[in-house]
Amino acid sequence: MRKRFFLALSCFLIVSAAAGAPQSTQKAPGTSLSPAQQAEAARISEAAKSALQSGDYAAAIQGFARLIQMAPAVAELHANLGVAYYWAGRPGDAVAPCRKALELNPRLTSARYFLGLSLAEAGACQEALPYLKSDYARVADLQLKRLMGTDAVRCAMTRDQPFQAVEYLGWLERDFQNDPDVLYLSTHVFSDLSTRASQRLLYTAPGSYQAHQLNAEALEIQGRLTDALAEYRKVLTMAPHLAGIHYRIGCLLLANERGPGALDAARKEFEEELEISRTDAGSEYELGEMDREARKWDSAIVHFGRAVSSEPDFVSALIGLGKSLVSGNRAGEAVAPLGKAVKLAPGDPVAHYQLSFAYRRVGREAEAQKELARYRELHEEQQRTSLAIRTAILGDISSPQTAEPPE
Amino acid sequence: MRATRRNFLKTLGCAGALLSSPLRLAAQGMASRGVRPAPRPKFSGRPFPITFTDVAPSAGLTTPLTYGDEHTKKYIVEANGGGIAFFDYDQDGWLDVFLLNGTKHEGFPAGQEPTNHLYHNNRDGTFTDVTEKAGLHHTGWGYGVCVGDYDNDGNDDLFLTYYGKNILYHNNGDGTFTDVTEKARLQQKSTRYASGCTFVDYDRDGHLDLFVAHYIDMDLATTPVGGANRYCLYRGVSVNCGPLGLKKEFCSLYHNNGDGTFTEVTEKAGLLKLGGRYGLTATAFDYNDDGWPDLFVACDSTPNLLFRNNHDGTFTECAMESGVAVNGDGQEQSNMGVAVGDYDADGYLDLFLPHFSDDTPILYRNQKGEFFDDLTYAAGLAVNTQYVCWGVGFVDLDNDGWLDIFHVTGSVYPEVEKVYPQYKFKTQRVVYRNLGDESFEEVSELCGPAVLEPHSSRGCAFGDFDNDGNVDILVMNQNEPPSLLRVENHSGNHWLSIKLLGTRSNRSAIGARVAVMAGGRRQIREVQSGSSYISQSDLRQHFGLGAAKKVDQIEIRWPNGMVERAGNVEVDQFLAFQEGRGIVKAERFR
Repeated sequence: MRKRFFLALSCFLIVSAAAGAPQSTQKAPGTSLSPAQQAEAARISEAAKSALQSGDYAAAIQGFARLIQMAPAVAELHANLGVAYYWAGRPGDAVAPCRKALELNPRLTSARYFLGLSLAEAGACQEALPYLKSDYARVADLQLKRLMGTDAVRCAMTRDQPFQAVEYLGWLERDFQNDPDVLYLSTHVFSDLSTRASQRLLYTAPGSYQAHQLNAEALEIQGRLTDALAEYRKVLTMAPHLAGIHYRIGCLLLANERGPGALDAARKEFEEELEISRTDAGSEYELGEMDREARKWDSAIVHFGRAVSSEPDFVSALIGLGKSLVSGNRAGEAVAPLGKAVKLAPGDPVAHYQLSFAYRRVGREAEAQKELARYRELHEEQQRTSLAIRTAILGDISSPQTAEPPE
Repeated sequence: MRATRRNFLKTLGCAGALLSSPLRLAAQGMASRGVRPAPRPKFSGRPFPITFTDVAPSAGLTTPLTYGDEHTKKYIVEANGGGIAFFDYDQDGWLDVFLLNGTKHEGFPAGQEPTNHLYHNNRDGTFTDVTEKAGLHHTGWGYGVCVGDYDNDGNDDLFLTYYGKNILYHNNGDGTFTDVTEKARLQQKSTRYASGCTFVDYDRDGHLDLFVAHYIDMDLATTPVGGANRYCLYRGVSVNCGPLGLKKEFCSLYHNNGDGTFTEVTEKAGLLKLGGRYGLTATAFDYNDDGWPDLFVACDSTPNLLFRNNHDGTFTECAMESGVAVNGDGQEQSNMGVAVGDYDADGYLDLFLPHFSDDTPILYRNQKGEFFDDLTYAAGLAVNTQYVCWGVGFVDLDNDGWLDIFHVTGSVYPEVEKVYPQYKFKTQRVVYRNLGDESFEEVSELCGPAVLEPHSSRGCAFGDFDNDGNVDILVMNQNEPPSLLRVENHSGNHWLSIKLLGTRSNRSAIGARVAVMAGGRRQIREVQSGSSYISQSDLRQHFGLGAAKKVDQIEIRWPNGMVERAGNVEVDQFLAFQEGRGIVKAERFR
């Protein structure tokens, strides 16, 4: 992509230079190009263009440098040289010719674009950022835009300007949704920001409850659930009314503990969370699930109902509410929450599956069939996506016995 | 997805996390959701006064059942066999044992080929191998077995499924059997991978028809072997391929013409309208209590099948609409065996299917014949996800009047244990006690070493082989002799066993529904051919009665729709109930 772009831009620049060469070959005062020299310049120009296109950057650099000797006042030639250096992976060397090009023609925007990029990639982020920030919005070419954006993010991170980095990331995510390069960058930026912030926390307040809480979360992600539980409990000794901790402990007990007391202990934690944070939808949801699994439909309905009252867009709670209403022989009331779940999460096959049951229970067979059909489509799509991910990661060692059998 | 704290924390952890979960579950040949077991509810504290003793060695059941190599399974056909049967072939009131056998690809020296076995019950706790005398010697990749008197001559016949060609054995009534496959027009043109079977009188004409499930459309000559593609890996270890990635198959329905022959009616009956499945256990039961048998197939890694009987020779597939195709979240599971029984005593037959490892089993509660609810977690049955599960049954082990659950386990990948020791090839049996409040608790640890001993088991059959009033369990173990788990019940609870004899209905009374009222409670059973995992259990219907000292009423709904009743029956005995005549025999063996 980068290569194709630069070739295209290079061609544009070179064309301009070639077109402008006869008129704007401004030699140093007192000099002029003879017809033979002009022919020579045209030959060198063709060769340099060809060299750039074929990736022979050394030849392209040599060619444009020679042209600049012949016509030092042609801004485009300096810009071309800058492009060649940039493309050759020598951003530091590209800076001077790009600056010269702008000095000769301040309106040569492409030289400006490459100056910003070259400065950024040569490590001169402080100087690069103003160019990148202002040019990102102006540049029309998408490839160039993407490069400017990513360089701006990297420079902002280098300059320890995290909020600026996030702002530039926002631009990129707006303009390049689902671009793998951008997604990869996002992952690392946020991860890096997270690491920096956590390190600052640990240095500035090592014994704080916040540090213990962060430690607990890290342990949880690492799967060290018992250690995570211990850290969360430590947090509570220091900040007994801190919201969210009882909830996390409850979830860990459900995930990690197999013993008979785990359910009661988890329930207690969720209830204590609700004492602190009366509208905590997560705790209501977990209590709802526990009651649903214990066939206490009425109680489950109450908890799920509270969860969706606090957070009307809580899809899992809407589905849990719907399931409980159906199981509790109140299928007529289940259609509304399940219908809302489907609207909020139209790509979730579970919501469609459950809604089809609710419709069937109340005799709305046509709608039930429609939802079931949608469930089947989404389910198959999910399986295809899952298979594609597996194939992408693991590769295809050999063909399976037969093609996928038709239904 | 809501940005709950839990979801937020799941996203911390960067690219490594992104890759790990698809890799962890990736590239395996069967469906598994990768779920953790639920926390166990508090133990009830109630005693479980049952002991299991494996009496197979002393009973004479000592021949190993061969299915491929012990240490590596090159093809799936070696990994999934086979079924096992309790049936009273000589009608002497004592259960005999039939064991299907497999083989090895490399073959055996002449004269040493493994064969199926028929063991005659000597009534003293021992069995005698009568295979040769019975004419049942056969070698092949035996899979499923089902029993039914297809010609109504009073003797239960045998149908065996194979990766290969199925066999119908006619019971000659004199201790011998004859292969009548061709005569009955059940011969196949080519090799097929048949799995479960069930005799069923789907048109209620008094003759048992035959329904056969098929697993994979597979030719061993072209099937890839371990590691060949993404479906031949389990957690990165090369294993036998499938079923995912291999061609699915269809079920077959054969109508009994009443003259000893069958006609295939699969398409005419509407069974081909839906696409193929990896069908395993086939069973018939009247799920909507309309008096007509329906067909259910537990399917591996594909949605289950429920064919509702339209009463006109055709069926409508309605598993998805009824809620038994997939689990409550719409996800397919690896269904192998199926238990059919009314665990909550509400008069409707429910289903329990245990699954592959890293997944819970599933309990489908029948909601008045209209649909089924996934109540696995609610019933306390989501507490184990570490086993690969096969043969299963609803069985009242302690005779308290509530159906318990027993199932067997065993991995399909002996290769994986060498790399991941926690994924054992041989694992224990599992017992769940019915608490009588629509929930269960696991009591395996209370049942003794015969339950906890590890095997790689497949089929299992339930029946009272020693006629002591307790249901025993026969288990098929791969490359080992079978287990015969004799159950001793110290509860003092009462029981009743009923054998049904059809006259206008099929002689085996398959499809008959029995209801027993005792102690203020009503229990139902249905006579089934084929269930558990491609196996056959005792056709007698056993009822635990708790403390009830008499049975207030027995009600039989015969397959042809006729209803008969008997009242005021004594407990702790074996009854024979004949259509049109009522109780014709009552006996106690001890």
